[in-house]
Amino acid sequence: MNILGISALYHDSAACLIRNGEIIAAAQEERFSRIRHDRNLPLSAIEYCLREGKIGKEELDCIVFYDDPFLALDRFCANLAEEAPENHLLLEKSFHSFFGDKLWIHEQLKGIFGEKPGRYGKLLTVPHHFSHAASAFYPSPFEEAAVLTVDGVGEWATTCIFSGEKDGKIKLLRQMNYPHSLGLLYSAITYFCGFKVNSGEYKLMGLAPYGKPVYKDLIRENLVSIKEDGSFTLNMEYFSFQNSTVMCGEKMETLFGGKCRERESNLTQREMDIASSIQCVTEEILLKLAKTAKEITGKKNLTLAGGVALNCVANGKLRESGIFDRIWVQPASGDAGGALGAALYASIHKFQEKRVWKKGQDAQKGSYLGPEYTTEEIRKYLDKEGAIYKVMEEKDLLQYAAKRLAEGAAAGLFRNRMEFGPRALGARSIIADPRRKDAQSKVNMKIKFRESFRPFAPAVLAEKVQEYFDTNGDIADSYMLFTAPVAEKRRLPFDLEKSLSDFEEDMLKVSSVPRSDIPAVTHVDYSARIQCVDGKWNPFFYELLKEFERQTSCAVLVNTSFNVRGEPIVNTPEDAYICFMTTGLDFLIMENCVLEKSEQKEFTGKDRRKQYELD
Amino acid sequence: MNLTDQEKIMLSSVAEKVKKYSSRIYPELPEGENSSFSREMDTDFLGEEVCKEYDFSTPVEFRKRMEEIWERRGVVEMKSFSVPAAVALFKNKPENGSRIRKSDGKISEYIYEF
Ligand SMILES: [Fe+2]
Repeated sequence: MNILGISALYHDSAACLIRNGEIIAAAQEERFSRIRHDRNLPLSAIEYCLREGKIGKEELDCIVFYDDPFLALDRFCANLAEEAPENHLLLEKSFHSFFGDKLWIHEQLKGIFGEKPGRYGKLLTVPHHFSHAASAFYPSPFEEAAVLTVDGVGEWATTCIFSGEKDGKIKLLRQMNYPHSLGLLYSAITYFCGFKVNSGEYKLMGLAPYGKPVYKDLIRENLVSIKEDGSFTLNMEYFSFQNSTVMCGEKMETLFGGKCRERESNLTQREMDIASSIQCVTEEILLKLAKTAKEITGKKNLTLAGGVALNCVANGKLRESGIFDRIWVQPASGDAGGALGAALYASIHKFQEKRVWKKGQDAQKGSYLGPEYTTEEIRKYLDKEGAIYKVMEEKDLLQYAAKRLAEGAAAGLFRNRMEFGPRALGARSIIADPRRKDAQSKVNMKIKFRESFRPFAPAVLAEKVQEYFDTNGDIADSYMLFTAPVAEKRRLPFDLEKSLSDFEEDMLKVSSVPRSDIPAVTHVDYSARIQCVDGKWNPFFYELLKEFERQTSCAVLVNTSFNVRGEPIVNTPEDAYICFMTTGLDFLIMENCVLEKSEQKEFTGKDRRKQYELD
Repeated sequence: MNLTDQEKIMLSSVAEKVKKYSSRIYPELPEGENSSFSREMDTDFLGEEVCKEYDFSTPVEFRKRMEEIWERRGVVEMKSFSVPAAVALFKNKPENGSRIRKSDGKISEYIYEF
């Protein structure tokens, strides 16, 4: 069967095609529309999935939506009642999105698929957390596993524990409901610290190692009351997301002894300490939830999804705790991945298809599930633009690229199918030499135009991971979803506290003090968000790491997403070329084509940077 | 005042009534000391088979689905939402031919979209 999964109309719209249980294609709409977190119906992503699957709309068997709009409306009405009579803001904010948009999803899809969506004839819905759970369990390398889903909110559910069984079925065992939500708590603190909700959470996590968890008890005593089993309640007096256009207000300011940080203003010790504190609380809750999941499922392994599962620091702690033997996290853990989960859930539960599962492997295909372009297609585009480029044999290309990287050049790497999920894994990446002290600030300031405190992730040869990091490496490490400590022998003495006081006027300058012999990928607490590269799904990237190691004795590269701040990751040769030409990137690899910045004529096209709002 | 505004007022006044008469609008937390997991889960709201066909073309069909949920949740008071919700819904139905609603696609920077 050909089943199309869709997530849309909240945030991170996406489409996914599965065929007889196998993932054929998946992509997020933002990559096509160039609107970050685009929430529109994913028309381009749908079109792409069908193209990749070489089928027409009429050959689709079924279409599945990742959320139950009726149940979501129930929550909206209950929220209206709960907040009555002061519910006007809520009504204003959500009235149209429910009555004019989400609830009409089936009618809107008729605009694409005609009167009958797929041969089945009716649109199917899968509840939000079931979609997340399916996206975690089915592609995982485990025959059976506990499943933990944690996000802001779906319809009612905010946190669930499921059991993924040998027969392929998923059973819901525990649920926490709105408004008690770890995702919303984390987002409220993100907002308080002056970052954008829905996208700045990752920055807050990156900021945490700079601070001390001095507000941890304050948070636990006032904002969230945590039970031993990991369940919790939020003290709603402090939160305004139920009926306001902001996440929290004055009461939170009183609690933390000062105003919310203004967007883009200097970060202070307070934000660092708040970030550290909320990170601790998040980890405490996740660890307790994991223990409960272990107790009630009896499974050896755990799978995770939902926006909170993108917290790779917490994932690292979960693994370290040893509660479960192994952990696998869905790379598209945010709502985009719901498209994948919804399709898989319907395939197995509704249509009794068999789960595609092979011992020792995951079914995510390295998460390289998006569009790719041939060298010929790229040449056509580059010729049209009058770009100066060379076409190289792969062997020469590898040698050339490794040499340029070792000289300190930063490259755009555009090869293979685009990644599904927020992390770039070597198909749409910016790469650089991690040994260079200036690599972090160069890529941050000249290429990505963003704050300099955020660490980069290392891509490392899977077979060499232990030489660099204190971890064994696992299939789950292919996706940059776990942090691991940099190996002791590589560390340099570093006193965070002293460094912070040295740089008091701009504390983030601390990031320029090297902490290891791979400084560009070592955070101030010696942690790194690793990606193990084993060559199965992206052989070029693997060979490049090998060649770089041959030339430099270093089996690690800096790997960050190919985009500028606020821009969705590049998707087409055009996106990549424009990003290359309007940033400080030194060279660009697009399949077998290589472009050197110094050889290019002046760029006269549109600099898209202005069109992207800062994230 | 446009028709949609009227519906907002209707929904608002129903919300007030529901608040007055219902002691448990939100799913229940357990009473015990040891856990805050809810007594009620998606499978209670929707039944064991949570993968559902999504289709309605008349207000009556829509109301039936909503009322089913409210009955399952044991909050029959919420059924008073069903008429104003159905009216609001059908007044905002996308026209044939312009079915796909395109917004600017952007999500709010200040609040989680739900
Ligand atoms: Fe979600």
